Amino acid sequence: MKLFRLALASLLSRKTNALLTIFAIAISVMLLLGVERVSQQTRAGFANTISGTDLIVGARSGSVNLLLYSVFHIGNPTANVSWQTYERFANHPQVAWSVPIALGDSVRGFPVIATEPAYFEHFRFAQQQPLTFVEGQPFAREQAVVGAQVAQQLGLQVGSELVVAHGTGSVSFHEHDDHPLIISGVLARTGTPVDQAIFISLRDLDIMHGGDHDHDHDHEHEHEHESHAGNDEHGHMHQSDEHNHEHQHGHTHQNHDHGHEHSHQNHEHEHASHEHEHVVQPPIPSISAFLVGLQSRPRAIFMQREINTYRDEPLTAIMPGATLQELWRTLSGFETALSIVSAFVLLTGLIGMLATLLASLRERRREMAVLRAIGAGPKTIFTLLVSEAVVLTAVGIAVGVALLYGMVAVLAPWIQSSFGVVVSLGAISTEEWQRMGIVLVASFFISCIPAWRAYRNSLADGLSMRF
Amino acid sequence: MAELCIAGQQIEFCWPSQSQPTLRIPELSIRTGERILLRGPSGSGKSTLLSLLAGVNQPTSGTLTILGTELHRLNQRRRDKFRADHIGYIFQQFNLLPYLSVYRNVLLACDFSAARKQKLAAENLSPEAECERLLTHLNIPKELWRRQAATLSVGQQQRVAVARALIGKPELIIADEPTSALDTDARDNFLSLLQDECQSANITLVFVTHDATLSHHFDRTIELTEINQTGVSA
Repeated sequence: MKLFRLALASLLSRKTNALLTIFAIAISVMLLLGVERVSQQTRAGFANTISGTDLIVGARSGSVNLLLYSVFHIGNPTANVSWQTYERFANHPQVAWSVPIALGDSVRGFPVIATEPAYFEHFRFAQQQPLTFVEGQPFAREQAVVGAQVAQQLGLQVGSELVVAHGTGSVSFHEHDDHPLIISGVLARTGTPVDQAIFISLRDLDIMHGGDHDHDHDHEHEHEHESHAGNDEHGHMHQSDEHNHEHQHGHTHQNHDHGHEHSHQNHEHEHASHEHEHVVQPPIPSISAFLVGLQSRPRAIFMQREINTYRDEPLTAIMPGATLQELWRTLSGFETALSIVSAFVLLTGLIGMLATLLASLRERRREMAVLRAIGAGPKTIFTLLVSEAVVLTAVGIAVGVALLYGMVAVLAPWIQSSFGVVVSLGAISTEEWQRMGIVLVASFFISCIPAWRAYRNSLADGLSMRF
Repeated sequence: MAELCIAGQQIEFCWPSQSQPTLRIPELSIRTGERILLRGPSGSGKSTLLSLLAGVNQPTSGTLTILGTELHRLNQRRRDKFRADHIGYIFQQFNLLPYLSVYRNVLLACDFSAARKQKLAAENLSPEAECERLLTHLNIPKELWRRQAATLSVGQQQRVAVARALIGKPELIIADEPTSALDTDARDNFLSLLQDECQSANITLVFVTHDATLSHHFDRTIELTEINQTGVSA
């Protein structure tokens, strides 16, 4: 105990070196643990993004790409899937349910997903958890549902207005200022990209993109309006929509003829009276992808093949679980690289400590000689040096953990909103304890080098002070 | 004057890295309570002899008995303990741990030796009381006691070193040119204080120097060049 106090006093007399050493170790420990923590939580977050969906179908593309845009809302589909094709598979006998999604817009950087209300019923994340509403309900026309993060960041609640813009960037070129959507519901936090998403109806998306599609807006449109609350504004919106260049508004195109068959979801909305034939109008001519739940899960592989070899339109179907793993494998190289880098940072920290200890040996030679003279054995000298290194490392580790938690606390919201990765302030995991243990043990062994030297010196020098 | 404090026969010592022995001393005897000036030019093996006397190193051959104990029969750890308990050592300079207070520096000797503490306890003295007595006697102003040792002058530091060597009344004090960094006045003052203390506690003193003018302070002078037969004077 006396020896320990002596070591401490000696250490305090070399404060600057000690603090720098502690700092170097703290930073490397923080990196080492941080990398592990982020990658583990990313992995967990990954696996949790989607479940319960058997297949995701999009236009022919790479499976990872399809997964990225349909689930993570990153990037854009290279091509779309026609509504007819969607209909065809939606009515496939093997298909229990299907939900179309159309992407491409954003609100202040948050992706807009046009879909059907059924999305909220079928989408599952983590362990088959359904989406739940903190308040409100699924959207109807002219309405939108927002994820937890969106609601929080944009300060939205049920009844708020939201303006949707073209493009996925945070800076949008065209803002449909005149088309505010009313928030109908706010989703509970999931820790998945859903938190960053805004959900609107396919029909609304199509209207906004009216000019961009070779698809004229139908007359029933306005009938629909009557079936919704807030439709006065809607009518107004249409007249002033400068983007709908080819879009013939309401009253002018009652008799517009659609050359293609459409089924229309809102079919049953009191349209009986209008003179439109039996042709049902689709809510949108094409979609980005659709999620499929099968009657029988084991048949997914057959269904996947059937979709992949569909002749009428080139399609790609993926099983989300398998593709998530594929994506993770792609990223795990990066993870390994990070781990290696942080291991080297740690090594640098320890070598820094070694250098400091070795350098201090020279100035401490007198100290050692004094201790020897009053009866300290070479082993005491050895213990003194090793315990100093271990104390430095232990403090460094503690500071590193504190830094890590501080960083997580400060950066977690930013990481979540930027990368959709939830980094929690959870307790220290077994693996993290292990890593810390390894650092401590490594410091012990490394400090044996200067300690051994001091031991040898103290034997060789005897009581003479050689400078 | 009866028994021998230090008795050596045919002492030979050779540093591991050297082929020639540094020391070859046929006979060395110092009586208890004697105050010896050990004189020799630098390189004559003074430091080597001192490290043997202190039990830091042991003779390559021959026997060296200190206070009736044959040091070579002890293992490293017990020799260290022997030194802590029975020998006070004073260096030429830098005797103190600069980061400890003067007070703690003196008490450090007791921290490493239970025997010194016991000896004090037998006289009903606490280490602290003895430390204060010694510091006072060695003219260390009280206001310096709590100061860091590094803030003291060299002369003061050397006197504090004497206090540390003396605390707990070890049988033998070895001083390795402790006055070489002091001016004449400080040196004489130092010497008389050291002598006083050794005399009153009947402590054997081996004082090493290259300065022959100090011999009149001591009972006897040993010329190392005369007793060391290596003929090496590098």
